[in-house]
Amino acid sequence: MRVSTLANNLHVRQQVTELQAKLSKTQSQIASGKKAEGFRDLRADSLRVLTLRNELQTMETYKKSIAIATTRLTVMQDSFSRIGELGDKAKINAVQARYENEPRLNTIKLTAETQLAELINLANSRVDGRPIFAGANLDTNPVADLDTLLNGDPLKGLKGLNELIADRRQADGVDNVGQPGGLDIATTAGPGATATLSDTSAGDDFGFTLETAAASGALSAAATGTPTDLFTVSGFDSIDEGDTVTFELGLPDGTTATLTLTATREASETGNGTFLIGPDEDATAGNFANEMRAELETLAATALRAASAQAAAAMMFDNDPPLYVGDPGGTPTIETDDPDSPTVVQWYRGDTSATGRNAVQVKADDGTYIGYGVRANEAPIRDTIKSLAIFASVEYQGDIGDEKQMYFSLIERVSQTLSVAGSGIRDLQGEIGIKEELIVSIETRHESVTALTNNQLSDLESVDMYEAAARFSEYETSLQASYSITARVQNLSLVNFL
Amino acid sequence: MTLTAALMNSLSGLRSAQTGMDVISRNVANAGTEGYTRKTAAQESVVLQGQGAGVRRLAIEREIDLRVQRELRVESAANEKLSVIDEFRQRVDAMFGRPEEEQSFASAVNRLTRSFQTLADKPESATLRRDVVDTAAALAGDLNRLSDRIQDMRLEADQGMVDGVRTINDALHNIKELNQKIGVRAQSGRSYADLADQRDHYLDKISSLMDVSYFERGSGEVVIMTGSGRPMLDVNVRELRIDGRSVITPQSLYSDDPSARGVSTISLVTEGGEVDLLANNEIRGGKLAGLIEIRDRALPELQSQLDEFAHQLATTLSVGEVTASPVTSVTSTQAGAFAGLDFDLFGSGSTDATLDLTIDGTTVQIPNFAIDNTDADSIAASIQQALDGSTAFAPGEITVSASGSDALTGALTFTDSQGRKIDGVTFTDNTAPPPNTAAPALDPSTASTTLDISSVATAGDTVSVNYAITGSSETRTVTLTAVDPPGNGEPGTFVLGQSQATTYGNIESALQSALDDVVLPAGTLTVSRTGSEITITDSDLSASTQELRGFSAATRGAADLQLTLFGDNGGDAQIAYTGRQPGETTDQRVGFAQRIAVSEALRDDPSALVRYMLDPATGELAPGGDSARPAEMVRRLSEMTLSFDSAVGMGPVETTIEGFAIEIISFQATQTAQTSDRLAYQQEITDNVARRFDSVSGVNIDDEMTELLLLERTYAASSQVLSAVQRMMDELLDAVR
Repeated sequence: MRVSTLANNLHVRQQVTELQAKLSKTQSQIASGKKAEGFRDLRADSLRVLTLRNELQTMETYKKSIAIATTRLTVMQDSFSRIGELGDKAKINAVQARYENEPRLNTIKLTAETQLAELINLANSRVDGRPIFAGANLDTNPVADLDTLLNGDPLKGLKGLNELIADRRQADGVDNVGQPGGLDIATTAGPGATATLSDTSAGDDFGFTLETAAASGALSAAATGTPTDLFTVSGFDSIDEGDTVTFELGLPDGTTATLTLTATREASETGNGTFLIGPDEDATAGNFANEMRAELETLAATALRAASAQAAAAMMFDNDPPLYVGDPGGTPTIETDDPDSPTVVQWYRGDTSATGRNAVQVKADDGTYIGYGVRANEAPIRDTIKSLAIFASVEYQGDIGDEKQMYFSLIERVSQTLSVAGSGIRDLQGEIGIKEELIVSIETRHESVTALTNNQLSDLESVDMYEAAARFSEYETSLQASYSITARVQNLSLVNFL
Repeated sequence: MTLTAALMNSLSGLRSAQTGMDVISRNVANAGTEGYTRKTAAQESVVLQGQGAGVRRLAIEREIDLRVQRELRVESAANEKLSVIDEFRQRVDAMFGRPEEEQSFASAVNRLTRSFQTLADKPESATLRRDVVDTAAALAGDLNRLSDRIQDMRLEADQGMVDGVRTINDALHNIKELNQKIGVRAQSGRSYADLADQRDHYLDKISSLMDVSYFERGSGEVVIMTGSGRPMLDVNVRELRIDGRSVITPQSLYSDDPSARGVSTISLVTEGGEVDLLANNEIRGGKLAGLIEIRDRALPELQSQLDEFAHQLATTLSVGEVTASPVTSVTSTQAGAFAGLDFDLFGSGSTDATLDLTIDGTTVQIPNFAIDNTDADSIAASIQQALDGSTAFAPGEITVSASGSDALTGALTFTDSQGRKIDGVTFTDNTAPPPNTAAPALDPSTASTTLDISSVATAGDTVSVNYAITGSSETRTVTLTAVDPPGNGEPGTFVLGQSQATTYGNIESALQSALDDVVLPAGTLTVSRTGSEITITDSDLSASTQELRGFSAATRGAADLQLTLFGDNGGDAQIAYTGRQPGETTDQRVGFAQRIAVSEALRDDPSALVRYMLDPATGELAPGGDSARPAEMVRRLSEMTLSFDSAVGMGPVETTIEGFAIEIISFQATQTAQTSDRLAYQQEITDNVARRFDSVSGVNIDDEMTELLLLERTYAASSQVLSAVQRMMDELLDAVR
């Protein structure tokens, strides 16, 4: 075949150009460490490269989310520990005071105030400016401050716990002389004399409620009405020593108190639930009624007052919106607070929607959402706050009258609530702990997937340096050879020999 | 005189050598000229009266293999086409950046997802909210820029076609002139080799631009036709025409209907008028075919992919995923001219209404017209326009008139000019409820409403029916709440079943008994069910004391988490993106990628990224720390699998929004790589043919030098003979003297 000089030249030139292009590409591959200059160079692999890069970035975001969640969870756990500790301390302090000397009782209120202040601080803890026990509502601190909680907000006319307890005490008839806890005591003359205990406001939510009545010996006790509004005791005519009447009375906090009255013939034994059998049935009934009144007054000043305080605290803390006592002096009723024009301090202002734990979520992986929204109004935290608030509100006035017994009763009730709250806090810690563990395990998986993805990506994207260098020197050699051949071919012209 | 004969012979030898030198010198001089064909001038022995009379050169001819030349032109045309396509595709690929630099819009989508996720961790942060808006704006900007570049490139291709056509027309005229000159020379038997070279140059130009066929007449003139056989040059030139464009938008597409065509087309002027060469795809090779491919197929395909992406992006985020939209309709079967139709339905601004008109028992449907005006007269005019525009009726055959002043009190009268009985008119509002707003209230005289309750699945979900007491503004609501089994059949609840079907049945029966309890007389509102669709029918439309107002289901979680993140910046002011242009029948999707922008409302107040409507009735907003909406956005962007339109050239694609962006880039990358492969292969073939062609037509200097040696020898020898003859003559004269 003839070779055209021009075609030959062009051919050589084209080959050299191609080699130079390859050389330049290899050079830039070596410089950048990457195979491709555009997605076209990756061809179908571009799908994988893009997907892997996407995954890598997503993974980074998950890790960031997890870091934020982990910080919050750690702070939460620390707060739980301290809340539990405060509850336990308050309980131990009170219970020990119960069995120790009087000065210890005097300190309970003050200690509780300090503890409550710290507790409120904990409930209002923030991480990075965000309250962690408020669910999704971040506008304010979730829990009202100590002073507002106890004393209310006089400027806005809002009642605090102190006032609620006082209102309730009045409504429950704690201090009603002659009508302790809203109960009336009366006798009817014989023959067949009776003593009656009646609840004129049966069915209301205040004071004592009549539950059951029982009697032994010749005495008999009957309960009538639904709800029970009358206990009638009869059989005083044939009464004998040791005969008893036992009343079970309901208290505002849902507990009951038992009142037992025993008959005696010894005048010296009377008092403290023992009444004297009189000369006739009317006298006996009168003695019985008097003793019952005295006992009921004592019960009102001790158990009823303690239960009333407990109930008042429950009205504030356990209800949303809170309840309050309307018209405590007249005909008291339990009112539900109107959030638009409130009467009572709103102790919890955080999120109350139905989302629960999911109010705060971390998306730790594709489709994996871990909810860890804890709120300050959850039972264990709420009960701890409530218990400390009761201690902070009800002060021990000294050993006057029934004060000590009342305070013992209060300690009993509150420490019971604190026990339940304590185990609730530990459950909460466990629950959050499980979530922490889950998040950590997901993070570990992300780490290993990230490493793997990076490897794959590097396989697809990165150039093998040895291979690239080999290729480079191969092209270099070819190009050198081309040049030298070209030069020699150029000399190989007949023109040079003519 | 033989001595004189020898003198003449050697003289002819000298002359022939000179001519040969002329040819060689031209060949050597043009050795580096592209398109130059090697010239030869053969010599033959001159015979006069049976006796040899020296030598003579024949006319100069080209060394050329016409068959290979034709083949080369075909291959070059294919090569040109591919290299144009390749060039544009490389530029498309370059728009996505380098793989490791993450500049592509797929990375931008991923960045949007990530910024939503970061926001979900800290929804109260104003900075992060702003970041989401900015990231979304960057994504929209990426799509806008890509679309602008695509349209710029299409315009460039269009203008390239204009240039190409001009070049072809010039070449045709030049060839015509050359044809004439060649014809003259050929008739007189003179050489036209150099003219033919020139003509080939122009023909090459044409065939690199478009595929043509040609043949040479006996008289040396060449006849050129389009690849499809339409004459372009015979005796006269038939020019190509192109109506260049200065603006090209995504809506400008090729159509064989000149009124619908948005780009330029190439036509051939014939006696019978202009023939659109693009209509039947008559340009199949050369640069023009490549430009057409780019302008009308490759780039619009990419644009439609981006549009589909933008469409899905905007709608997926803004669509109320689980709140079913009530299908509202107003029906009446009053005989004769139909009057007294209430208008409330249309006061809300239906942009997609359907009218069913029953005349003499035959129902004619007039679909897809807008009645988004508010006064009765305008509504009547809109309906009249739809009626006149439909093929079912002649203009004016059915007339619509309005009475009353506004949409609330107005009534319509339909009259048939042919005097037929109008049995009934039904309007259906097909407009999807605008995102982020409560479903529109039903018209007071609504006969029935249907709701898909398939979304109701978890405890706490609710199903509600609103009804109004006739003659008062009071509306009442019956709400049923889902409870987990076993449930004790409390009023106001329904029990979730083991299967969805059981749940649907429970809802149906609970709803009926709840309605019977409150709506008197019992049975006025009846509940029926087909699958997951529950229909409530007002059985006593005219006399009822209560009217159906609304029917909705609310599910916790995803229900109201949709977010209108993107809008359409098409006109002077931003409009909502609904997939359809308001008041027009054109598809809003076309070119949406060029117009997509972050919702202005959201840009002004990014708090809507977090705060969604908790309760449409009270207008209560989610607290600022609620991460549900951003989390839902993350899910919709990266986890929700969607079906993408298979009409965008990739076949059916089922993937996420993020996945689709990746698919688009990868699809384009693969297409580019394939074009490059095809181009490399075609280049190889073309080079081969070119080498074959050059081996015949090209100049080899060594060849010419050898020839030169021979000529030099001949010349020297002939001169030797001349001087010998001269000497002999001299000697003869001396002898005579």
